[in-house]
Amino acid sequence: MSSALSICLLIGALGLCTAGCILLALSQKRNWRDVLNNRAASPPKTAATGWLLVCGALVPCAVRDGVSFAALVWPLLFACAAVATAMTLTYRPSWLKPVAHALDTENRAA
Amino acid sequence: MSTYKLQVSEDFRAAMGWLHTWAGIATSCFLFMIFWMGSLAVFDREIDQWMKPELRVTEPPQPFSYGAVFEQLQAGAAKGATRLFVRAPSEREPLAFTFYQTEDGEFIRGQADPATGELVDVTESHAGTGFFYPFHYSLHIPAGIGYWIVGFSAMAMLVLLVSGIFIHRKIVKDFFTFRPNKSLRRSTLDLHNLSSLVALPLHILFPLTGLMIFFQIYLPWSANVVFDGDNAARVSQVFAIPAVEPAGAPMTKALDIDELIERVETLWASSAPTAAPRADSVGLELANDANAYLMVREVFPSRAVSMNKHLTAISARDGTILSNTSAGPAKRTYAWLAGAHFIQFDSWVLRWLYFSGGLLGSLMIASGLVFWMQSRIRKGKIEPRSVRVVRGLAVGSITGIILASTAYLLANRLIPTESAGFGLGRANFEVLFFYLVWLASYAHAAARGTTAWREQCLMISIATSAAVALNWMTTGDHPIAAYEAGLTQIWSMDGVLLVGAGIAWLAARGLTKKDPSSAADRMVMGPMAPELRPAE
Repeated sequence: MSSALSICLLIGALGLCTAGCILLALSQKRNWRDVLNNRAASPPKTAATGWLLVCGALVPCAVRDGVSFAALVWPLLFACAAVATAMTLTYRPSWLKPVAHALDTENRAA
Repeated sequence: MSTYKLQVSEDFRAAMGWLHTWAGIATSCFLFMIFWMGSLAVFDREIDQWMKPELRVTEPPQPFSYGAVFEQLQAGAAKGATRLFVRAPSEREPLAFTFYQTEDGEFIRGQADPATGELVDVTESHAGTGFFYPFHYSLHIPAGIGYWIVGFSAMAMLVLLVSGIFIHRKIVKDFFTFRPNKSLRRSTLDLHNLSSLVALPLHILFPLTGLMIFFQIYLPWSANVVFDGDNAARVSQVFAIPAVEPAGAPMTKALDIDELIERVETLWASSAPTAAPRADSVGLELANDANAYLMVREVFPSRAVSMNKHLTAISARDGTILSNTSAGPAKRTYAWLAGAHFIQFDSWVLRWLYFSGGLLGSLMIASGLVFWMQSRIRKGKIEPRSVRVVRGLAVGSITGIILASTAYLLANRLIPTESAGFGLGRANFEVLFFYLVWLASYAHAAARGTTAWREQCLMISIATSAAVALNWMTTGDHPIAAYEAGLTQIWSMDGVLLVGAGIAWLAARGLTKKDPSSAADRMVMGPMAPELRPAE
C-alpha cells in the first residue's frame, strides 16, 4: 500500500471517529445547549448516525493494517477523538456552531 | 437518557463505591508508576538511542549477515562461549544486539556493527530497555516481590474498572463532559471519568494482557500438573527446544550459518505463502560442539500483532530440522494478546497511540487520587491527616517519578562516558541518581504540602528543558541538526521532552492560579453522592 493512501486512510478513520463523536455529543441536551448558547433548544436525534460513523471508522482501519491491527488502532483513535471532542466542548464550543447550525432543523423550519 | 441507567440497588452501588475507593487508594501509587514506566517503555529503544549516542546510526545495512556477527564474536570476546545469541538490527535498533554465555555461566551483552560484525563500545547505561522497561513489570524490587506487586495492582485495576462503571451515575450523559471551572472536586472527577471511559477497552486490555504474559508466575499450577512439576520439560516443549546432548567432540565442519537461516526461512514461507517470514533473532547453542545447532526465531513479525510466529531448531552440522513449532489455537490467542502488550511490531501510528493511551491511563489514576483528597477536604476545617499522608505519597509517586525519570536522563548526559561511577559502575550510578531524586521528591512532598505539586511541576519543566540542552551540548544533536541528519528518534524525543516541559510549566502556572487548598476553601459544597462521602 502506498504511503499516501495509508495516511489518507488513517486521517479518514480519525475523521470518521471525530465526526461520530461530535454527533454523539450534540445529540445530548447539555452539549447541544452549550454549543448553541440556548437554554431551551432541544437536541437533534443524531446519536444513531454518530454510532454509525464511529463504527464505520473501523473499515479504513481494517483496510489499512488488517483486522488484527485495526482491533487496537480503532479503539485508540476513538479515545483520541472523544478527548478532542470533550476538550472542544469545554474550551471552544463555538467551533462546533457551524455543525450545530447545519443540524438545527427545528429552528430552520420555524 | 434514563434508559441507559444501570439498574442497580443503592446498596450495591455503595458497596462498589467502597471497593473502588479503597482498592484505588491502596494501589494507585503503584498503578501510576506502572503506567508511567509503561508509557516510557513504548519508546524504550528510542530512549536507548538518546542515552547511548553511539547507537545513533541512521540505517542498518541490508541484507544483514548473522554469520558475520557470530564469526566475529567467536573469534574475539566470545571465544569458547557455549551459547551465543544475535538479534538483527532494525529501524528502532540500528545495531545488532548480541549476548553470549561464558564457560562460567555469565551472560555478557553487547552491540555489534551490522556491517562488519564487530562489537561496538557504547555508553554504559541501563537506559530504556534495561531500566524503564523492567521497572514497568518488576518495579526493580528483587526476589520476585516486584512481579507480585505489579500483578496485584493489575488485578486491582480490573476490579477498579468494573466497580467504577457501577458507581458512575451518568455514564452516557457525562461522557463528553469536562468542567474545569466548577469546583476542583467536580473537575477532577470529570477528568477521571473522561480519561477512563474513552479508552475503557484498552484500560482493560493492558492489565489483562500484562497478567497473561506472566501467567507462569501468577498461576503456575496448571502447567505444573500437565508437566508433572518438571519445569525443564515445560520450557523445552513450549519453546520447542530440541533434546540435543553435547557430543563432547569439537565441531569439525560447520555449515554456513546464513545459508541455514535462509533454509529455515524458506521452510516458514512454505507454510505461510502470503507473508515473507524473516528470522529476527538467532541463537547458537552448544557452540564449538559437534552437535551445535541454531535456534532460529521470528519472535516479533513486523506486520502482525501476534508474536512468537516461528521457532525452529536446525542442526549446524548437517542442516536437519530438529524441531519446528506450529502454535495451536490457545498459543495463537496468547500470541496476539501478548503481542498487543509488547508492541514490537512495525507501526509508528500504533506506538504513538499507545503512548497517548498510557498517558491517558496515568491521568486517570492521578485524577482519581486528587479526587479522593478533594472529597475529604472540608471548608474551614483542618485537613484530615489521611489527606496529608495520601498527598505526600501521591506527589512523590506522580510528579516525583516524572522528575526522577528526567533526572535519570540528566545524569546520563552529565556523567562522563568513561566514568566508573565510584565503584558502582556507570550504569548503576545513573540509577542511583534516579532513586535519590525520587526519595527527595517524597521528602519534599512531605515538607511542602500542597505547594509541592507546583514546585515539582516547575522542577520537571526546568529539568526536561535542561535534558534537551545537555543532549545538544554533549552530542551536538540539537533537534534541528538531528532532523537534518535523519535521526528521527532523537529529534522526536527532544520534541516530546520540550512539549513535556511546556505542559509542566503550564501546570505549574495553573497551580499558582488555582491553589488546590484555596480552591477547596472557595468550593461551594453541593450535595454529594452518598457512596463518595467519606465517613465522618
